[in-house]
Amino acid sequence: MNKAYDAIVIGTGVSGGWAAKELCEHGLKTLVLERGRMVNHGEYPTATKDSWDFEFRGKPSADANAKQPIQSRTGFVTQETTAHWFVNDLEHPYNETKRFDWIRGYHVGGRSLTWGRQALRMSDLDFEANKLEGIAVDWPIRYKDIEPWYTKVEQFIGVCGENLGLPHLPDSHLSPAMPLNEVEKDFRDQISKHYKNRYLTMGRFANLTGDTHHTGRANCAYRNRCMRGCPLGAYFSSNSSTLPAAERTGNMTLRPHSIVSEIVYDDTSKRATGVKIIDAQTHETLKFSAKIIFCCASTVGTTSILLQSKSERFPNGLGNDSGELGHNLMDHHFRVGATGTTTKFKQVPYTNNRPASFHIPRFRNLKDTEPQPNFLRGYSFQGSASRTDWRRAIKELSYGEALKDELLKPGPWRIGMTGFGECLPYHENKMTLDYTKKDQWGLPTVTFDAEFKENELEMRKDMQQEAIKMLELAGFEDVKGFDTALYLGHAIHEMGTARMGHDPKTSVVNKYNQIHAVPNVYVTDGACMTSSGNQNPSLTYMALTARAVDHAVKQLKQNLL
Amino acid sequence: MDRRTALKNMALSFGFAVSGSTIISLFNSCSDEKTTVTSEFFKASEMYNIAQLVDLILPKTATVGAKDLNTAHFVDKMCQHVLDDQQQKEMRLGVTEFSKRFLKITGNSTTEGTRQNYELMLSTYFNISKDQEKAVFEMLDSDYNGLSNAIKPDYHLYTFLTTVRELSLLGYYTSQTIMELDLEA
Repeated sequence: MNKAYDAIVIGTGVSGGWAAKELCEHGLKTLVLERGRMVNHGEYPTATKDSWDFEFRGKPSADANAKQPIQSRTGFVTQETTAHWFVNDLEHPYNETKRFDWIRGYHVGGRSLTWGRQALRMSDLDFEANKLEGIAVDWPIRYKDIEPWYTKVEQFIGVCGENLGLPHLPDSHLSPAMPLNEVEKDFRDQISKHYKNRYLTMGRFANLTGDTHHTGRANCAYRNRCMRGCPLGAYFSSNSSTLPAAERTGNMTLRPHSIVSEIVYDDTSKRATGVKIIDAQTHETLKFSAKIIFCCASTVGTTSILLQSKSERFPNGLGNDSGELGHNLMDHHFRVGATGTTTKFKQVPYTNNRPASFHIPRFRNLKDTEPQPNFLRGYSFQGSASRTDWRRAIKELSYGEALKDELLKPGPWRIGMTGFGECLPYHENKMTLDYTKKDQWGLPTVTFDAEFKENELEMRKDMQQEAIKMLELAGFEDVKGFDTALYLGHAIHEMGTARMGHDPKTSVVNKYNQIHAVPNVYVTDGACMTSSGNQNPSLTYMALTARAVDHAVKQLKQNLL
Repeated sequence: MDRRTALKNMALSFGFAVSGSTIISLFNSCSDEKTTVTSEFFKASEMYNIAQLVDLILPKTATVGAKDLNTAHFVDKMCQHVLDDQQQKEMRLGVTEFSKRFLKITGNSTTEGTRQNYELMLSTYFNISKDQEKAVFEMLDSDYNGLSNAIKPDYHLYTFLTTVRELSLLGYYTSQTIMELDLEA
């Protein structure tokens, strides 16, 4: 062993950053491992560039696209503005029995730098659903268990938005919401006029507004370039927030270029004793020991490490007594909804730099609504209205003076919204490891075999139909529905492959995110999710992580780990 | 770090708001520079086509035109570096098809073509009914391999013309000169 620590955290995204901060603030000497390169807060190479500073005005070159054939499936992350935050697919291959869009970045901060920042709480409608419907396994926690941790996380990361007092979208600790524009306000009023249980509100975003002090960070300046990294630290990322907090304690050792190949298990103590890593630059193998290990390497990353961690006691991967490790892979389904235009509000002053969208919380299959005949669970909508720019003329053949001068002015208002739908946990939706195809470090590659099924497809029909209906009722013109072919992974909300549960026979981790049979290993990233809800999940991962650290620290004090 | 980036970083680090017009007054000496560069994708003779088309698509009015911003070279650069192999192949077939039709319609070769000749070409292929326009984009969105051989010349021609048009709009409307005009509006 090279060096012993109190705790090891694998990964530096939203979950890893929170584990690092909480463990360090509790006084634990913590080694934080990141497989990718170092990114200090502020080292965001495109953050202050304008459109004309990019050689291809933001579009990816053919050469760049050839290196990111999977990442470019998103249609947006490989633009010149953000391509450096996403992996080179040729260097990081995986296998698809069924198409799975694995969109990810290997660097300190991970996807906390590029996340959508929508921070929504889950509720008991979500935590109770599996049990009530007899789907998969029951969540071992309820809303009351996570509620204080949601508040703690929101206070630290800073979330703006509006509380509605809805039981299925619990009120949050919020700073003032970003404003809806006039078209969105009108849409909100029309929805309230036509529906009893539907509301349009400003989304809850992890961007700073209001007057609360956040060390080293400033309020959002409405640059709307969040995905590039924010020099102001105005939105929450590990780089701007949790990792600096961990650093300030003096207890953190952050080690980039560290690919964890295995968690080492000792059958005598029935505990994990540390991790083996491969230095990504030198290919050197090293070992580090610790009393507790937090797996926060992302759903697929964590699950791969656990599956790779084989021993006599765990021949199918660490903690895989249930056989569920790698199964129940979920992602939200989206890119289904509607668009419309309006000729009203032409004279309203307008800017389009708000880095946030409106939100229509779930209204299907609530406790007091008629059950939907064709699908379980529900969906919410996210969208925005804006005035169109020059791109409105791309699919035209107009030219000349009139075209040029017309396109110098803002175009008509256009509104669009997409649903975010829940995906049920299916045992057969899975990831496995292929030891016949190894990566450049000699580690097995991941194979995905997962698909959306009837419940999601039926839900999508309703999502499109309701989006069209709401826009038409609100008086929008030229309303058109859309339903884009979609594959798991595309929402970048993959989760569920080391699920929480009461029973070690059917789940991987317990109600405190400890691996059932190896209690000093905690899994607190998306892998632990027992169901997906329809909410953007990062806030829940952060809250579960903070809660799990609290538990781990208490257990350590009692010498139970 | 260039001066504009340095000033912006400074503004950000001090946390003060910089209005659009302030940015313009600070940076008005950093306008797009006109430079003569060698073409990368199109042959020198074809660059004459591109320059003529770009100038007609976005001519100079009270505001600068695409020609003033060297947009033809931007179109050339994008074709070389951003289009993939298949798109490049289609563009080359398209520019050849354009030249053939140019000779047939105007009686001149493209390199001898006058502004009026080019105007006639655009008018012929762009001044069409909305239904025809819709049919053009449906053709361009369809599977190339499913197109009949009789249609393919039209497909190549419109691939060339719409790509030049779209890249001209992109180059022009995202340029510093025009973006800062927009800020002042």
